Amino acid sequence: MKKVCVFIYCKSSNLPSEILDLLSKSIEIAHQIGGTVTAVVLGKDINIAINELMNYFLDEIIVADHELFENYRQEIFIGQLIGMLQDQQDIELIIFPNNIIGKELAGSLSVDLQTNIIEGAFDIKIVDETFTCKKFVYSNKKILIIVCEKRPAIVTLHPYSLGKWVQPEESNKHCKIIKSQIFISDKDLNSTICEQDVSQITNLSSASIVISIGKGISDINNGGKNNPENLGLQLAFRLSSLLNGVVGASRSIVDEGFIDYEHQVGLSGKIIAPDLYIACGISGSIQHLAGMINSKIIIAINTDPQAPIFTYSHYGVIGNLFEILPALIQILETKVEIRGLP
Amino acid sequence: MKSIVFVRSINDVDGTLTIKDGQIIDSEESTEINPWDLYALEAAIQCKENYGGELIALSMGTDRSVKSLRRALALGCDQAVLINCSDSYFYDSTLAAYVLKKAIEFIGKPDFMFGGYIYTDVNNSTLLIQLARLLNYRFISLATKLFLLDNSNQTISLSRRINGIQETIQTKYPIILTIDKGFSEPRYPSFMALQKASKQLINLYSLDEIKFATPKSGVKYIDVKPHEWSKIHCEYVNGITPEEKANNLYSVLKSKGII
Repeated sequence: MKKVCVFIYCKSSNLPSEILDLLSKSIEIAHQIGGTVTAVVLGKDINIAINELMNYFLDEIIVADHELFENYRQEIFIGQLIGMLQDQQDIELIIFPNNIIGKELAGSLSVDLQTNIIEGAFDIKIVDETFTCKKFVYSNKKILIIVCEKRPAIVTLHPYSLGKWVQPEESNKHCKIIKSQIFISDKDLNSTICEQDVSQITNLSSASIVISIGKGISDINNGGKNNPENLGLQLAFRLSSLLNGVVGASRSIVDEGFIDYEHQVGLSGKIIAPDLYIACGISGSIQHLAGMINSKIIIAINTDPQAPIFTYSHYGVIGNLFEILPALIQILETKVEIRGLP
Repeated sequence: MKSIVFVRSINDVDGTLTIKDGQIIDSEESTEINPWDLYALEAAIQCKENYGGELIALSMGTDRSVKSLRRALALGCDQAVLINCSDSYFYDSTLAAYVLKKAIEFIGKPDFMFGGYIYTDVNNSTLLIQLARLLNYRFISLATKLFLLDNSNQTISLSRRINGIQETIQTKYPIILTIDKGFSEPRYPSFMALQKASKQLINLYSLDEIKFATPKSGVKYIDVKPHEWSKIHCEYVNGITPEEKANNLYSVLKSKGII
């Protein structure tokens, strides 16, 4: 029977929220070709994630749970992945998340399987029995429609291209869990980690509320580059803390060193779809929109009434973020009904 | 020690993109060096300055790529090589990786190969990992630091960021690296260096010369469309003072069940 495979790396015991879109797309494609969906999962201590994954109407989950998968190492992940796929018959399509790890593994696998890779697709459809993908090119200004003729087709898919998927209430009782043999050992490692700094990790991808800051925070002389005392940053962090959210940022602010890359939202940062996205001092370049356009509610705060962001926002406030945010923060601080007031 | 830096002239992202008979047509419009390749060039030049050796700038594409190679020469690369082929190869990274493999075998395998993380016109960042797999090279993406620790046993130390984690890794060369923007601010060539580079020889080779058989892409291009996000109706939150606007914004958040 024809098969659609989807690759998942569980960094923690939880299922990464950004892969839900990939699951939904895999199921849709499998249904169209009369095939099944197999999730290929790597990670360390991932029983909880696997149990959660069983709720997503998959046919089969192949799991490699081993301490070697605690940290991403291209050489061992690809070795394991090839081992896990070698006995699988009739694979028509392999979907990877379009993140650094997904892209590296998809690229390596395409060489071993002597096939093509379509990177950064935001949609896959079956047209005349071929996999037809849409991807952005020219910095998101154009959409290229491509057909992959070789099998299996390998596609890295943008998360949240369909918006956030709601977890189904029923589980697939027939989902088969297969514990994979471990095909690699620590002898296959060709690099040693000497030091790790995890202080910059954000929960941006899974956050329900994101307060994002843009060039507007550099409008006044309030601290400057790399300065945590920057008033705009302080306001964004305070508001996100009051709303139990996470701080995001536009590329220009990251490039200028105001905030770490991990906070960057957009084509070259993270693609997210929170319930609420508040864009403060962000004009709304096409690259930034690519990262947040699927948010459920978008609120823009900007001094420039002509800023493109207003055209893509549900609510707009024309005003100075250095005046609006302190006033909003003050109101929130005085309201007792805020959930989890810090 | 021998290093190669791969540089590419990319199409202007505001320019046109044409498809004919399932294939992408080479553009005649102006190009610029891929912005991520500037960081790769900087890393490669710093590596040459710190540890010596020969540095070759390599490019693939139409004659328009000469511009990027001249810049590489002006910045201190010893040689420039252009593999003459269609720019459209980059839309199929598998095809481009096979050409690049032949090119590397033709000019000699390096100890280090540097490249940019992504090509912003074709939106592709898997080319060099595919090349590494084809050549059986080690590969690290988005390096922010590089130190040669011990030349006798080819040990290097690298920093990179993956999944939000900043790591320092010890590994060995030969290796292919893509370079992150955090590596170092790219330098600009001086006017005099550009003048000198404009007279330097670019080694130009055809696909036949590097023994690359007739290419066959496994992908077909159907259509290209301009992209614009759907506009939505924006409801403005009004008020005379900032406090009034904030108060009305609070009411919106409350009505939507956010707070």
